[in-house]
Amino acid sequence: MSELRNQPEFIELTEVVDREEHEFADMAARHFKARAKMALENDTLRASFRGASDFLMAKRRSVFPDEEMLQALRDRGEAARQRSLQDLPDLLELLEQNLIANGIQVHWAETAQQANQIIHDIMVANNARSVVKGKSMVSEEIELNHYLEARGIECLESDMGEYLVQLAKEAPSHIVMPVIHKNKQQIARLMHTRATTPDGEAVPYSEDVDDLIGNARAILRQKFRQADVGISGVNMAIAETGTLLLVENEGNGRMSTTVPPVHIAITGIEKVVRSLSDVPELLTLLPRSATGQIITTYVNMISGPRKAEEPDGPEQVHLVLLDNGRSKMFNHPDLKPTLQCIRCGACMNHCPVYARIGGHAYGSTYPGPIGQVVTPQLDSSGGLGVHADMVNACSLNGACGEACPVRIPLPDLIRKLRAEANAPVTVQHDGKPHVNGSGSHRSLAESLIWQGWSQLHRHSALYRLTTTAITKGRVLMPSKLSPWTNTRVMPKPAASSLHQLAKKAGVPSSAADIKTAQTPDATDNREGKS
Amino acid sequence: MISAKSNILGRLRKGQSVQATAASRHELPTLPRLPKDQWKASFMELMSANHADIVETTEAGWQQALVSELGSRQIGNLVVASRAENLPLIEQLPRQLSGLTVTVFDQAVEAGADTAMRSTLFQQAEAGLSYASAALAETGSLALVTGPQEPRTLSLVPPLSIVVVRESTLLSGVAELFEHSFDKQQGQLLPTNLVLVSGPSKTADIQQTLAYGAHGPKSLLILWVNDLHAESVG
Repeated sequence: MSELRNQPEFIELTEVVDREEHEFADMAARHFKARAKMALENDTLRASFRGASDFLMAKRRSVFPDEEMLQALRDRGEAARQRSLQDLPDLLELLEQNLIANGIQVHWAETAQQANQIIHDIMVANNARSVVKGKSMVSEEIELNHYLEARGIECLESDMGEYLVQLAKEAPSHIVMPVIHKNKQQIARLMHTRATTPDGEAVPYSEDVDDLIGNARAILRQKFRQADVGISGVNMAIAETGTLLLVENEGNGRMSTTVPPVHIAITGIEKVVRSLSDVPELLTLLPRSATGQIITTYVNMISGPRKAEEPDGPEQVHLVLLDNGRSKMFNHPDLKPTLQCIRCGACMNHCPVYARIGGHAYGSTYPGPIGQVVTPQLDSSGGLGVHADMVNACSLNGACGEACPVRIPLPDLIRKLRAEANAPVTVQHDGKPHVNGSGSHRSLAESLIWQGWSQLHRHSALYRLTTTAITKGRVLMPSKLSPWTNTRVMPKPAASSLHQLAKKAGVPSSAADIKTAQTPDATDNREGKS
Repeated sequence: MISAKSNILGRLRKGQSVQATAASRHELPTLPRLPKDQWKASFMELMSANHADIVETTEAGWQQALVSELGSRQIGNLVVASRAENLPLIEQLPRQLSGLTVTVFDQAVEAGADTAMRSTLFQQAEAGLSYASAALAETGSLALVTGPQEPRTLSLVPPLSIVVVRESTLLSGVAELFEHSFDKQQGQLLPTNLVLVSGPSKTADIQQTLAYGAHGPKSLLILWVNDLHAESVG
């Protein structure tokens, strides 16, 4: 141990970093509501997320200056993804055939457990002891690091954000910017107390971002050079050419897929497109929507391991295709568009709830609006039985749906999942596909209230009687209705209803009256226009 | 796992008849491409914005431009691929620059072992010389077709990546690159690794602050060869 590590300042900083780790673990062990509350009470965390959301929204706006062009691009993005999904099983078979022709080995996994096992088997077959990972959300989804580490294999994340998150023993809080929940002071403490230079020393304390990145670069370069296996995700798999396409800025994706002798890529079955001609429009949308870039520094298209005459590149390339609930989404008429997602993160960047509670509150690999839709549908997640509260953390403001580059109707899907969580048992047995945990949050009181509401609006006499009762009896209304009024003023019913006001003002009250009041010309005009 | 494959495909085939409620498939014309007279300006602007250094030169002058850049940047070790175009450079560069060692990438980076080539790349190499197959105007990108003449790690591991690109290879964008060079019907297959490079490596993972030189090159130097102008003059 070096002398630096015995200094009181170092020990003090270590305690701060350890405390943050415990706070994270404590939060992660709680339920959604408790997590959200803890996040809301943490001012540092809120400042980090607010800053990141504002930054990413402004960046995205700057690369879509023309509203008409943006909408035209979104039409194309949606169409490209829907074309791919329409032929999904055929495209997957075509992809497999062409990957094999290119020398890439293809593996199919129905579950997270199968995917982990496949990857571990490849490592055992190659006598591999260490892994360096490029960014892959699917590997987070199946908790690959835990699986491999439990079997004695070192797994090192190499994306700068992912590396820092791993160092902190936390989880990513955003799918594109994994460490946006930490500020640079926190990261400086983390690097100083937990990272070790290639010479075995502690990293000198610095809050300078260039220093921090430079230190991490030096440590990770050593790992790239020595790792037995590189693992990466995939942004698009091109069926006709048998190609894996990855986008990134840091170069760690290229390192992980190029330097180690074995490259294992893992992806969800929905990421396939038919041909190279499908790539440009999605490649135009992805970096612009994600980080406000016209293009990422690297677009890495892998169509095979190194050939005999080539001096470098991996000698084996594997692709693991993961289902984990995706084929069920494919069978659900309302939730099918979930699979259109290209994982850009624009929905979470634009979500007012995400900006306030942050990524960890969701307690899932995928946070924010797309996380709310994907998570309950994944086989490995526990379904709505575990994640129904997350689905309720939405004001249905629609910002996510408007930001989505492939026009996934996210607010509709969130609403659908809420209904699903509250679905009565009779609906669950109607032969249609249902999400795991359907009906798990049905409450008798809530369903009775809604039934009453429905009756009220279906029968005009009952409706009028009720509104009269409410307006006349408004003084009897309670002034507090906890917990709703803990943060809100109790609304007070008006002295007279809209119907009563209209009647007093002489406005015609029935549909028949309205029809006769309109001139025939006006009606004709309106029809003529449409 | 054969059963996993057939189970997944079985479920997907069943789901193919399920029409998504929200479906709105569009038949859309392809996007308009950047007019040719704006290609060069667009490439230069985007590359410069992404912190690449660009030196405009000529067919006759680019090797001298390379010498002066290597000299002013005090590069002590340059790695070049084993290709015909590099033969004169391998011979002449060390004579023109006394402190320069030119290493030829002619050995395989062996798997598993920390061989000579691997340690040269990771420890000694200060710059790597690459040749782009095309330049893309709409995104400001260089297309590197890797292979025996263009190793994958050459443009990735050394801290300075130098790329020679000829103006005659400039295209509107990635769509045109695919149509132009990688049409499977025409027998034009993709290389084992096609890389589009749009600047030196970078990250904004720490508090959205941009830092260059994340894991790949810290700097990107482009030697832009004006081969079109030479033709029109000649």
